[in-house]
Amino acid sequence: MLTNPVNNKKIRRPVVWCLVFSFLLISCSDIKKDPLPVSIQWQNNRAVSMTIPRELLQGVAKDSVEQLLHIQLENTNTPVLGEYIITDEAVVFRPLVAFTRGLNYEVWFSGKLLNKVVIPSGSTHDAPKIVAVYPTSDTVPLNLLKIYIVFSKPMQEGQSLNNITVIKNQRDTVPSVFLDLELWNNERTIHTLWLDPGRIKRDLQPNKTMGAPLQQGESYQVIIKQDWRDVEGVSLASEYQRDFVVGLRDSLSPDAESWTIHTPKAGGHERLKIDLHESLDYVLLKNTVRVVDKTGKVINGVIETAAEETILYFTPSGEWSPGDYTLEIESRLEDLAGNNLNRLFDKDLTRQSKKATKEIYKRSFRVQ
Amino acid sequence: MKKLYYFAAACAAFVLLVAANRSTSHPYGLKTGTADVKSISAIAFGPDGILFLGDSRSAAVFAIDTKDKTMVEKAAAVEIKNIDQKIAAALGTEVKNIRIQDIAVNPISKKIYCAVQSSDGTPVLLKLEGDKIQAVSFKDIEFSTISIANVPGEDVKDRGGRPLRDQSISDLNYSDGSVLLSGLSNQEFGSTFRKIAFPFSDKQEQSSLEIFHAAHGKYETNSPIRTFTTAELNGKKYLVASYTCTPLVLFPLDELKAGKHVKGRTVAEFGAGNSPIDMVTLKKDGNSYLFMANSNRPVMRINYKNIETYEGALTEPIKESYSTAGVNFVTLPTVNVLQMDKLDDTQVLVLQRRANGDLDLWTARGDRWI
Repeated sequence: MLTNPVNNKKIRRPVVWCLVFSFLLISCSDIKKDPLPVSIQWQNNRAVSMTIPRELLQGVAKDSVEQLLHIQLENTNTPVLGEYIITDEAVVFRPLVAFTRGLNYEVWFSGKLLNKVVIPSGSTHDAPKIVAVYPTSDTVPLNLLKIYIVFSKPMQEGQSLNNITVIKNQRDTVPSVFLDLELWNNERTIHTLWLDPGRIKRDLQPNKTMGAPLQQGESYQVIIKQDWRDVEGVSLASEYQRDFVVGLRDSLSPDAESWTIHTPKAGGHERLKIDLHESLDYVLLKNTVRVVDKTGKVINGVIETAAEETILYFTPSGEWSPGDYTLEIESRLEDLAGNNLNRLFDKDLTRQSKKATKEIYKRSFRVQ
Repeated sequence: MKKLYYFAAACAAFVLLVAANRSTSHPYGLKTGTADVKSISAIAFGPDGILFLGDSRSAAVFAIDTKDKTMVEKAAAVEIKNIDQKIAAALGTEVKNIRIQDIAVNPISKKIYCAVQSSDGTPVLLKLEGDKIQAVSFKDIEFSTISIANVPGEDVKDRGGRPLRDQSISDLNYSDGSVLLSGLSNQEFGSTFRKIAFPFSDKQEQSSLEIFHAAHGKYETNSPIRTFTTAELNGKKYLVASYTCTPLVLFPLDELKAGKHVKGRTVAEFGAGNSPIDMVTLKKDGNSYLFMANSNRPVMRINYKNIETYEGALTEPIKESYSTAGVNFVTLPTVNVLQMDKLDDTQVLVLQRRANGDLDLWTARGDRWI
C-alpha cells in the first residue's frame, strides 16, 4: 500500500492533538470524580449536621448505610445518637445534640476510619459580656435578697455557683452566701441569685448558726470568673468585678403612695418620670408597673430604670393624649430586701398587720 | 335470606367503622405530631406508659405516649458505672456539657427514662435498656400539651399586657388523674403549686396556691418546694412536700384548690444547711416508708406510720445547730444521691456521686433499706 508522506503528516498532527485533548478530558473527568469531602452544616453558630457524600461509602445500598456508618467522638467507642437522612448523593447525620465546638469527631464506615472532622472553637471576638449586675447601687441593705446578672448572650446553666465568688474586705471568701437554686429568664440572659433567705431571716436556724450572709458596714466584692461560657461554648470576654458596701437593714415595705410622679406634656413622647425615693427590684419594676388610660386600656411603652433603680421612666410608643391616666403597680413589686407592697419578707407572723392588702396599687395622674 | 345478608353486612361495616374510629382517637386525647419540647426540668410516668415532661422554658407540661407497655413484674437490677461519661459519649460531647435533670422508671415495663439537658440548651430524652442508651424522639409521636404560663384563672385578656412570668418547674408527679407540679419564679421567692387534670382539657382546670408554713416559730418562711410526693395517711390523701432547709410539710390534697392559700402542717425538720432532692415510697409487711435523698445529708427513711401518729405541728424554732425535730427518721449509709426512683416494688434506682467523683447508676435492694 502506497502512502503519501505529506498526507500522513497532515493526519498525524490532528491525531496527536486529539489524543492530547482526550487525555486532558479524561484527567479532568477524573478530578471531577474525586469524592467531595465530609462537610459540617452550621445553624445559629451551632454545628447541627454532617454531610457524608455517598461516593465515600463505596456504593453500599441505602438500607445498609445506617448499619455500617457511625460517627463518634475521638477516643471513644460510642456511636453518637442522631438521625441519618440518606439521599442518592449523600448521608446527612443530624446528632441529637449539636457537635461541640473544639472537639474532634471520627466517621467510621464498615469498621474503617473514613474521616476525621474538627469542629473549630468559637470565635472569641463575639464573646458574651456582662451587661449589668443589679442592684447597681454601691450600698445595699444588710438583708439584700437577690442579685440579677444580665448577660449579652444566652448562657450555659449549672455553672453559676462555680463561677461566682464573694470576697469580704478584699481578704476572705464568703462561704454559702447564695442559695443553691439556679434560676434564669426564658432567654437565659438574666440570672437570679438568691442570698440564702434562711440566713437573712432573723431567728431562723441558718441565721443563728452562720449569721446573716452580709454584715453591716463591711465592703464586699463580687467576682464573676471569665470561665463562664455561653450556649455556644464561648467564655466571657473578661472577668467581672463589682464592689459594694453593706448598709442598714431595710424593714419597710415600698410605698407607692409616696412616689413622686412627674407628668409629661400632652402631644409628645416625653418620658413619664416616677421618683421612687428608694432602690427597688430592677426585674420586678420592669414587669409589675404599667400605665392605663381612663378606659382601662394599657398604654404600650418601654420601662427603664435610672439612678440606681430609684427612678422609673415610662416612654410611650405613641404620643400622650390629654386626659386622666392610672399607674398600676402589682403588689409583688419588691425592694432590694424582698419586701413587697403587701408584706415584709422577714415578717413577724405573731403581729397582725393592720394594713389592707391588695393585688394592684393605683396612682392617678393627668396629662394636659 | 337476602335481607339477613344485607343486615349482617351492615353490622360488619358498622363494627369496622367503630374499630377504625377507635384506632384513630387516642384514649387520653393525644394527637400525632412533633412535640416542641424546649427543656426538660422533671419527668414522671402516668397511666399506660404516658410520660409527663415538665418544660420550664416553654412553661408547659407535655404528655407523651412512650408505647412502652409490655408488663414486667420484676426488673433486673441495673448497674451503670460512670453513667455521665456514657451519656456524654452517646451525645458526642464531654461530661461537663451535660446535666442529668431527672430519671423516671416506667412502672409497666420497668425501663429507665432519663432527661438530659445539654449545655447549649438542647433537651434530650433517653431510654436505658441494660447498658444500651437510646434516644426517645419527639418527632411523629402521640402527645398533648398544656401551658402553665398564665396564672390559673387568668386568660391573656385579663393579663392586660403584662408579660408572662418566667418560671422553673422544681418537681412533677402524677396522682389519681392529675399532674401535680411545683414551680419556682426567678423574680419572687416562693413557690406555686398546680394540679392539672389529665387528660388535658381546653378548659385548663388548674389549681394554684402559694404555700406558707411557720416551722420556724414566729417568722414566716415562704420557701420554695424542692421535691414532693403524695401519700394516703389515715385514709386521707396528702401532698408530702419538702423545702430548702428540709422541713417536711403535709397538705391535704382536697384543699388544694384554685387560688386558695393553704397553710401546711410541718411534721419534721430534717436539719438546716440542706436541700431535699428526691423522694420515693416503698412498702414492706404492710408498712409504707418514705425515702428522701438530700444535698448535704444521707438518704433518710421515714415510716409513714410515724407521720400518721404525729398529730402536732412544729411551730417552735430549732435551738441547737443543725439539729432535727418532729417525726423520727433513720439515716441510711448512702450519701450524695442525686436522683431516685422505684425500679419495682422491691428495688430503688439510685443515681449517686461516689466518693471518688464517679457518677454511678445502681440498684438498691428495698429489703436492705428497710
